[in-house]
Amino acid sequence: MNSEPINHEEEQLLGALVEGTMVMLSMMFGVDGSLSEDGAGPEDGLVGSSLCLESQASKEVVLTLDRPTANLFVASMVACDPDDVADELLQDGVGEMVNIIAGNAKAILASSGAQHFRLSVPRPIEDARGARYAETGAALPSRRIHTDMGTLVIGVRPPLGAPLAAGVPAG
Amino acid sequence: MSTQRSCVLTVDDSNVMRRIISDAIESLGYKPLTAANGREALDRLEERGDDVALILLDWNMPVMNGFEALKAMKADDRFRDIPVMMVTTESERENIIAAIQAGAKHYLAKPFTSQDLVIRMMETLGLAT
Repeated sequence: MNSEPINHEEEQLLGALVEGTMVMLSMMFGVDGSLSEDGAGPEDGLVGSSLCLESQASKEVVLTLDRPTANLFVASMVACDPDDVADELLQDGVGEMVNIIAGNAKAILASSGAQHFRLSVPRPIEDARGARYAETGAALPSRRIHTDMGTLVIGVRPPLGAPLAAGVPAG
Repeated sequence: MSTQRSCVLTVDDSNVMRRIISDAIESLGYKPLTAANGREALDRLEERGDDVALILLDWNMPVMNGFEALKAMKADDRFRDIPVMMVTTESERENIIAAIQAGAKHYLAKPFTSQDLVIRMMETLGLAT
């Protein structure tokens, strides 16, 4: 499958996002993740959330997963049965997951002196295909992380003009 | 103060996070109050401020972020002495320093385990031995 070319900064960001995802999986869910680089895949039945990392070279971070996997993760977060996770709560939970992943990645990049970002608030993805593929049809830069609870795909794409949180401080 | 007040206020734009933290608050025998942004938090304090023992405050939120809410709380004589713990993904050193200098008592970075949250709350409330 063709993939969008990836530059050094995107590679660095993806690495930090993977690390942030692994930390989240371990601390919040007590599961380990294994990584494969083939991030693109079927876009049917996806749930996802994205937020913007705002800087001179802003990027949109996109988290997607299939609905059953999303149900499992969010149910674990709020200690309820996966069948009892309503749509609104599901989207909120996935939004918080991408918030935590991106926040960790932001701190990792800042500590290495690499890049500094400001975070937007998360928002649901509206276009599942656009979350994983560019208009050219090539797969967007992403990483697939497998867990016992299911598979997550974390990726980056050009920003879609997501609003920043109110009065975000510098740094 | 904290031993005489019965509520803990959680401020986070994520409903899921409010629920997670509220469970931890209840496990310590306190009643959870919630707000979805800094502006709502200030409204809650207007309503119930004299019964709030602790404020758990996210940073990145719409309408009014946690840092601005923290400064507003500390500028108000009625709420200044309520201890505040930042609970946020903003874990960079300069943000932690800024929050502490603005009056936050503790800082807990997301993600956290339930145990970490409870322990840190107990420390902030003065319940830890």
